Amino acid sequence: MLLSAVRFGRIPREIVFAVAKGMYGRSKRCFKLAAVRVMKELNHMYWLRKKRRKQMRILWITRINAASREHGFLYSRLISGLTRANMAVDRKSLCILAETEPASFKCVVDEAKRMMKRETLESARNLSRF
Amino acid sequence: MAFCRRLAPNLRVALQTWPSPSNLRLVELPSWTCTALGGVRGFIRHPVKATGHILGHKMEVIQGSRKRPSYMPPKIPKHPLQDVELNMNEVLTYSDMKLRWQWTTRFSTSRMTIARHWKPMRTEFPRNKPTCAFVWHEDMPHRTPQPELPDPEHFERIKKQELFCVFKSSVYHQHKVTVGDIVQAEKLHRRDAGEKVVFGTVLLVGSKDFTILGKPTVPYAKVKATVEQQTLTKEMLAFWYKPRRKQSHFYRRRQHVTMLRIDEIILTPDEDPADPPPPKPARLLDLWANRWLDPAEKEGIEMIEGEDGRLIPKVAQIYDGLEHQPGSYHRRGLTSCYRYWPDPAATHWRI
Repeated sequence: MLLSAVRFGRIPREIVFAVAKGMYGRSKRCFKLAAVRVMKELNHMYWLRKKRRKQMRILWITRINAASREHGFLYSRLISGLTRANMAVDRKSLCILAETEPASFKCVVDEAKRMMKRETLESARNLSRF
Repeated sequence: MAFCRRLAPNLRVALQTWPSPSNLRLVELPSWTCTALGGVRGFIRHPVKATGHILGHKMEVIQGSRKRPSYMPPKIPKHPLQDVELNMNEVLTYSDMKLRWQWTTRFSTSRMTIARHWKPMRTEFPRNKPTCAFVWHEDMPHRTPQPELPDPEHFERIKKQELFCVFKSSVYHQHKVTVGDIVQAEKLHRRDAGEKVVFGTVLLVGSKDFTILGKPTVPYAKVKATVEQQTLTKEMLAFWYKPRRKQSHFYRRRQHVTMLRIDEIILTPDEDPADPPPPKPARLLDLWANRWLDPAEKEGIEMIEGEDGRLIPKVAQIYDGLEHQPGSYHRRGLTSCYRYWPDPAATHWRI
């Protein structure tokens, strides 16, 4: 793309200088230079905002993993146990639980542990729970 | 091994059985190796390239890297007697007529590989019945299914506790709150500041003494909140382009949000968790017109006396107040509480 600010979907001049405030060199003063820098800057911000959701989820998973390993349970087993237990608490809430409510988090882990126990033949044949 | 897989469809089966086919040589390792490996592993050497692969017991060996036939399958010569389309004018020598297998399958499938086996996904359906589990923290590592409710003697004790809960304020968003918290939720349709709203989808309730695990929700728990603000977030500049494309987009946007103050987390273990029936037709007249009527218009509605002596709109005689579309009352905030998936009591968005 041509990096020019004079086009459809262009950035207004005031905003260009507002964003370019504090940049290095002539980029903060000259519109022609500032426009290019600001376009790149805003473009990065735009895509990073999308990326932030993924990163946050990764962060939550990391923390849940560490917290559940304290109880001797893997993250993957925890999540599949919660799925089997039909629980819908998401990663964000689990992470907050692990940080602020250790007792309740342990209850959740215990529930997942219980669900991940190997099924005996009797319980596998027992259809009353459906 | 120069067969095409189409001609020998049971090749894989054949390879699973020991001893291996003629050009797969099972080389006996020295005895110490066999004992170290449990005595079941062999060292399979392929004459061409697969040397050095140690294959496990019953491991599936296939020819070529793919288990499925490729899109351009190798050319297989027909027998000259069956090959009707063979141009006899081009046949000059005897070798042109000969059935040649030399260059047919060599390049695509000459390599022996270990077949990848994908485990089938464990099915999640049918789901278990929706319940919840009440866990006292005293008997914490619970190893058995827990009841939905504690003993009735503890009901009063439960209600007095300071609670926290995880509830859903929209289909996507969960919040962990206690009483007095302010949370930012998605915009609630047609709610003004100061209004009281109730959220019925509570995924987990906890306190110092106990935890109620919703599977997926706790049916007897609700969250009462006050709408603090119906507002907009700060302005975000959105500008994006992709290199070498002649387009760019610039816009400023502010997101509609609702700020909620949590007033109360209520547990009603001794009551029926079912919601009250849908609102009466008098309330639904707006929906009948498919828009929200102003007070002047509402006064023009023709009213008659109903069976129990109260005034009801005349339309109620022919319209019993059923939803014309599942979830439409919920969206307009007419139901007694907001319920979202995966709440079993949610009226719409079921899976």
